[in-house]
Amino acid sequence: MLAQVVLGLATAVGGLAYGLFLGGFSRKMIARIHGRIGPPVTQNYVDLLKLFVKRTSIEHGTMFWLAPMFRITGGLGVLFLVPLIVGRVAVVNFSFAGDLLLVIYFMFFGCLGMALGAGNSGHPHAVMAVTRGLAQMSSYELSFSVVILILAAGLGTLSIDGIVAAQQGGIGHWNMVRYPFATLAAMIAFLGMMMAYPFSVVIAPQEIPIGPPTEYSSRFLSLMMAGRTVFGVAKLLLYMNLFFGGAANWVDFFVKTFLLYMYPIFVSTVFPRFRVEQSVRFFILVPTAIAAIDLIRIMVL
Amino acid sequence: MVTIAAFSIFLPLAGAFITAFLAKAAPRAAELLGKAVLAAGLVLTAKVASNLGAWDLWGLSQAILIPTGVGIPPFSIDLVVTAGASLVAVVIYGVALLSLGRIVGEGGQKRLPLSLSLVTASLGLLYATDLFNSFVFLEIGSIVTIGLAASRGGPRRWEAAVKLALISGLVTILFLIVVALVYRSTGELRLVALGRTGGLVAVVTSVLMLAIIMAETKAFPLLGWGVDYYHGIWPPFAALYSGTWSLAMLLWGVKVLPLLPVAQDPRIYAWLGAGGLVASQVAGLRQRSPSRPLGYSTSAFASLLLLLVAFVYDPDQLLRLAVLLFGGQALAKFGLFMLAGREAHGDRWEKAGARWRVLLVFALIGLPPFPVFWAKFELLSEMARFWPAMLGPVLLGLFLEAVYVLRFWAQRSGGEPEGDALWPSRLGVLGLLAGGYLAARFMWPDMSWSMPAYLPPFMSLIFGVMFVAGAVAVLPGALLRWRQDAGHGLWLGLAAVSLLGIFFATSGLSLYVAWEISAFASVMAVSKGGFRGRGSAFWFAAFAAFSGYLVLGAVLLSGGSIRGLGLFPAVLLIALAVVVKLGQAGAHLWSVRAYRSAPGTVSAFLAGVSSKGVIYLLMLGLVGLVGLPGKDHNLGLILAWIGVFTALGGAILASLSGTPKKLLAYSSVSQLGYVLVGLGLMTPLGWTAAVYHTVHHFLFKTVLFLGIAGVLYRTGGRFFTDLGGLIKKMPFTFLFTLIAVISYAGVPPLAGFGGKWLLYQGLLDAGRLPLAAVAMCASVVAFLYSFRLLHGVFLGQLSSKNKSVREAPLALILPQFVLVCGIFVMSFRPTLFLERLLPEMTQLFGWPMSLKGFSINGFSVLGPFGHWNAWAVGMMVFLLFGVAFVFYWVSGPKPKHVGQLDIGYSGELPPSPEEVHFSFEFYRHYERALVFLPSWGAERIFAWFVSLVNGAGDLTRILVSGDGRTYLIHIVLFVVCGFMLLWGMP
Repeated sequence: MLAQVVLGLATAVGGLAYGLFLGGFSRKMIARIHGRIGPPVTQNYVDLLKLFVKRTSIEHGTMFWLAPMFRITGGLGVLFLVPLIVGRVAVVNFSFAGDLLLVIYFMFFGCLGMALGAGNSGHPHAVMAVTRGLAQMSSYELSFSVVILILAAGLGTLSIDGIVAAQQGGIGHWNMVRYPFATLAAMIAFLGMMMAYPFSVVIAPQEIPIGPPTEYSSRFLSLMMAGRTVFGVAKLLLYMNLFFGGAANWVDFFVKTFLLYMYPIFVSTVFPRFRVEQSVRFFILVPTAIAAIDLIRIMVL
Repeated sequence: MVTIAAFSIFLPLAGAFITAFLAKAAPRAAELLGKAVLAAGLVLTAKVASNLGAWDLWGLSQAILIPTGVGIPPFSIDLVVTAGASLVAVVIYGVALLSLGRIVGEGGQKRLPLSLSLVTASLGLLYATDLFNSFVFLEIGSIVTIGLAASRGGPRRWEAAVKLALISGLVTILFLIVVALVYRSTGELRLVALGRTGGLVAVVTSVLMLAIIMAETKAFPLLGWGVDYYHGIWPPFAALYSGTWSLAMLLWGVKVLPLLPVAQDPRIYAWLGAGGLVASQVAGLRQRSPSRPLGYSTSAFASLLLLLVAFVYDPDQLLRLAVLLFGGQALAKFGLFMLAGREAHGDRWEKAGARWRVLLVFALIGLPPFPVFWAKFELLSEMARFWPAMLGPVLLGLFLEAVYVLRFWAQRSGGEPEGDALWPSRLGVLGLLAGGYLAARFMWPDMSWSMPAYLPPFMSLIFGVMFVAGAVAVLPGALLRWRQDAGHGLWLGLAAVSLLGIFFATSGLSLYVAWEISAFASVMAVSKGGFRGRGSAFWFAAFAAFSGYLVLGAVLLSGGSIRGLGLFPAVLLIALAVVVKLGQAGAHLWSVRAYRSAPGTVSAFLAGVSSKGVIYLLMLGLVGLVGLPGKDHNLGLILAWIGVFTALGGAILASLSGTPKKLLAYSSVSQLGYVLVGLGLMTPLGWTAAVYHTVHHFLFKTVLFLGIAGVLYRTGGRFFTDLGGLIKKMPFTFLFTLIAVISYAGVPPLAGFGGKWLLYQGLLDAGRLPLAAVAMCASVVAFLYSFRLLHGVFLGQLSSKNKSVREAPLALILPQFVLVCGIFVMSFRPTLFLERLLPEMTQLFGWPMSLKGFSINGFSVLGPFGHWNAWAVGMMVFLLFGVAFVFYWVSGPKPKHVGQLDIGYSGELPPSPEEVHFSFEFYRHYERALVFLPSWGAERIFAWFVSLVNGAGDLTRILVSGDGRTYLIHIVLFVVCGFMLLWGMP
């Protein structure tokens, strides 16, 4: 029991630290692409800490207060439900609680909390951002759910452990190779999930500055930031497990997640932003059509 | 006995003579005398009826002969009073007595003799057994009705009288030809002689008599004059006319039609009746003025007369059905016309009492417990036995009639008419209820109620518990408005009780009775809604009537047993009825309107509870197909596709709705789609998912609608733009709504996720990937409207007009609390529920679900494609949330609470909360993104369909040209065509 708690804590802290590092690294990277020096890689740690120790904070109501808790619960929950390393029982925390469907639906938990907090803040920009986010999410989830179904039907399981196990034995067994169109569609959806340009309609600085956390500050914002960071890592884990054979060891883990993280960063630095309806329409039509190729392949063959 | 009967006939004749003299000299005395005569006649005929043992409706052809002349016909004038006819005579006397006050009131005593003569003529026709007497009374009746029509009324009365005179003249000529031919060929004039003719005479007699009866009863295609007549005359006359003469004419038809030589081939009557029913009722749909629909409805009953003699041969049964059918419709029309204004101003009726009118309308279209219902059911049962294909057009025709008669109810609004005008109608309703009681007593052996045994016990129990718990949950809320409007509470109670009736029904008839009462009690409850209540109730009523007739068809095809509902044709009808009643596949047109307009608790009942009765019915039907391979599974697949598309479409439309109730209505339609998907899979897993989702839907939907009911009750705000920020004022309502929303959105750890998980397992297991993809997509779109609901009502800025709003009353909060507890139990221990469901599915489908890898292991549910442990998820979430919460609660500086307008607003002061609150065109971008979807929605398709039907109606309406000469030509053409068609038939 104690071991479980310690491991859980370690996973949480480790996930957060890794996520913050990735965030800091990407800030540096983007700055270099822009030709700036950029902040140090540790800047995100500093930001988080600084926000956390601020002396004052304001709140707009109960849901505003609770939203960061929702957010961190959502992020950590997904992290706990997705296995980190293949076959390592010790780090598989809660995956006995449910399969891929549970993870997919649990991913909404944090978003929901965020939305409720934004709504309770009473700031119109925050709510606008939420409506944008929800509209975009409903559209990329369309193709993503088709992809999930392809994997489930193709591999005969929805258990993430099962999906990872089915990909062992070399790169030829990875779902990336087995279901290339599904993977391509999922990678497009991934850009939406990570809110990278050109799909960054939720936190669109020139339109609705900052987006949902507009009214958040200090300790609340730090928790929000932590939640978002962990959630990002969890998504990386999920993708790694679903399409890229999971991680056989820590090196595998870091390489794969790092590359996955860099992919939206590279895409986003060279694109401007879509309008909301363009983004939504794109997600509904393009990746879904791509994923449908594999769906038909599975159903016919 | 004979003397009493004779008295009862000739009393009004004597009265007519005396009052004719008295009318000028002593008008008040004449009026009193007239009333006394009619009252005496009523008592006497009632006595005759009870002597003949007519009241229990058995042996109605038992008769008394009144030999009033000498020798044999045509010289004698023997009359035969059958038990059935005596009951009709009671109606005739009752109608005459009740309408007399208005007809002769305000100095109209001159009309007394006419009214009394009309009663005599009607009774004479009712009792006549030979052609001569029939002719005499036919003539008296025609003259009197012409006179009455012309004596008072609006400008159209002259037209009406002249048209009637023209028709009567032609009928007289035809009748005399028949008399001559029959007498020449058989040597006698008794009606039975009609059947003894042969050869050419038989053909001519048949055609002419058919034309006479159809013209006089206003059957299609000879209905034109009748519609104009009802339209033109003063409404009280119409009341008298339809309750006496018109009724007697129909009964005369029942007497004569079976005797005609053409009756040898009942298909002729059947085709004339069924075809005429559809054609005339399609035209009836086009009617906008108040009195014309009733004319078309008369035509429907004339068509039913033809069907009656085509399908019923037993004289007792024939009379019983005729009495119930025609007596019932006559009383209903009488009541409706009496409610009409004191003066007929063309199309305008005065305020007509809505409360009584609706009962009369229900009686006219034949809803239980009114007499017409029982008669129609029995007639249609005969039809189902002999010629099931005929059910199609007949049910269609009856449905069309129901639509325009219901619209007639919905469109006329206003308060009660003043004073005594209402009493005749009220008594008419009482008479109808009494008739309904007699019929129900007669039909009672066909109805049975007991503990249901069609579904496995636990499944049955679930539905029973939902029905009872649902009623208990919504009724306290309904009582909140008891002072202002007791009506909707009463109707809601009736709907709830009859829902239990569906549950306990063990025969087809009892099922159908409960179904109809439940549906129309709900319609009435909806009509009490303040916001376009009546109009929405009409939509509901029309769709309910449609699905009601489909259920009737299924019940009839199943031979009256519930087990028979599993026969494929019956299941097909049930499936269609259920699709309509659940608002699937475009039928949401009714449900969205009804849920939007109904009082809050009524919406909660309809969406949360009543819809489960519909699902129960579908399961009753489908359970017969379980385990059968082949076409039934295609039916299931179609249902599943309907469900999944409705789930998606409903979710999108819900997201774009501007009012919370409309949003919930669309969401309800959408969520019920998942149930159809589950059931349509026809696998144990699919059914498990469907039952799970049904229970869950009951819990969360009732909570949501009760919550919104509370919001509306306190704020009165109907649109999202009027609401917002109520979390501070109504924290409990918000909390319960939030839990319900999280649950149905499928976000773990609450119960909704379980339903989705089971459903996807079922879909994957059945290999239905495209279905699963659309279902998943729909479930994600649900987040859009979930947030809109929560934000639009409870979050954002509190409008200044809602500053003093309080928490919803306890009567609404408490049921929500209990239901939310149910959601929690289902969320964390779904295995309690699934453990019991599993063996039943095994039993039902004949193979264990573990074959497909489905099993329950402790708190874990293992499916063919994965696993789910609700308890573990719940614990994980509470642990994480709890740690974060406690940490933030105890550590660090306390945050400062700021006012709702203290927000960072680009350096400006935020204007009023209404301006800052974002709720208008919430998902404008989403709407714009979806422009590639076809813009034609269900509304437009429906409008197109209606215009198509109306076009068909216009084809028929050509017949009703308004020109008396055309009507004469119709009769002549009918005779000619009939002759040409029948000539050469054996």
